Amino acid sequence: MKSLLVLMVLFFSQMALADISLEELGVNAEAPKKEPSFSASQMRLRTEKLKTHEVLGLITLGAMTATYFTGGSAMDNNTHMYLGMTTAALYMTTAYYSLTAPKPMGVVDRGRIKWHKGLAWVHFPAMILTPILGYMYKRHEEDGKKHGSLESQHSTVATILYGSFAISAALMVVEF
Amino acid sequence: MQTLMALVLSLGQATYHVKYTFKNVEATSTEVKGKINCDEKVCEFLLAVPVKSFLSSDSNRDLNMLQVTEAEKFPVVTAKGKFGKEVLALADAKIEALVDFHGVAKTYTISLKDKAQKANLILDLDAHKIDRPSLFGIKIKNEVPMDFDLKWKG
Repeated sequence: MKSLLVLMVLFFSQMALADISLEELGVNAEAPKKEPSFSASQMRLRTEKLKTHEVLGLITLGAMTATYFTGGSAMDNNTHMYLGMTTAALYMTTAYYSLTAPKPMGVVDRGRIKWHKGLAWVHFPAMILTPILGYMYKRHEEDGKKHGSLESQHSTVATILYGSFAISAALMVVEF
Repeated sequence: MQTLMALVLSLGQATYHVKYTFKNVEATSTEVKGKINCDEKVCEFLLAVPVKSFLSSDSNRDLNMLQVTEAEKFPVVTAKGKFGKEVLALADAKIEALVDFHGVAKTYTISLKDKAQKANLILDLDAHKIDRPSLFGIKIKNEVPMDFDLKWKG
């Protein structure tokens, strides 16, 4: 009789509302014991570098905008040239912070970052080409020589650079 | 108290909405697990979702989120609590839940809809000691609304 009572108590205690555990849900809430492949310090470094990249990118966009809109007076004074040099220096520094940011193994780029990186294949060559063509154009203009067909495309290449860079920045900053 | 009825999530989805000056970002997890145990009058529940299972439209942002939330250290967000059994039959209801996120537990009011098939709450990032990301000194909003789509099976 006594053992029957114990059995009944045991049975009903199993049926009682007990706290649901994570194990019941098949969820492991324990932090992994092994060292992560990408350490916290590397992750911090990544975040710091990408944040700097983000801020410098927007400053570069500002400088690029000023350069773009002073193009018309490039033959009257050197403002456009100096702004262009500043933009190029800022651009390269911005790129440095992105290219040297550590990235965890196995992370596949997805969504906007894919477009952001893809556009670099457009604006990077344009960034190299634009000041070279601008320099050639200004020199020939000052020397009174005829402009070549390539250097005449300075403003077209600059427009491609400005457009692709602005879209690339907007992709990261503004949600469409 | 006896467990007279047990419900398990057959499909669980959670979405968070982060607000920043220039944009609203959302990320969704389809790996929400949950269970409800009920006796004659009271039900208790547990919901759990791995932090790393939230995916937004940008893999870079998701990596940043894992760092901000210290997902290596606190890999799971849980919500648990109790409510009257009648809630499961109501179109609209409000219940209390203890949410454990980033190692800090805080009680929230959760709005339930459609017989507990939909739920939402507004997370308070500062309360969970989350160092909110910022750009140009402007931090993301402290309040992060979360929506849940829950399909229960008996």
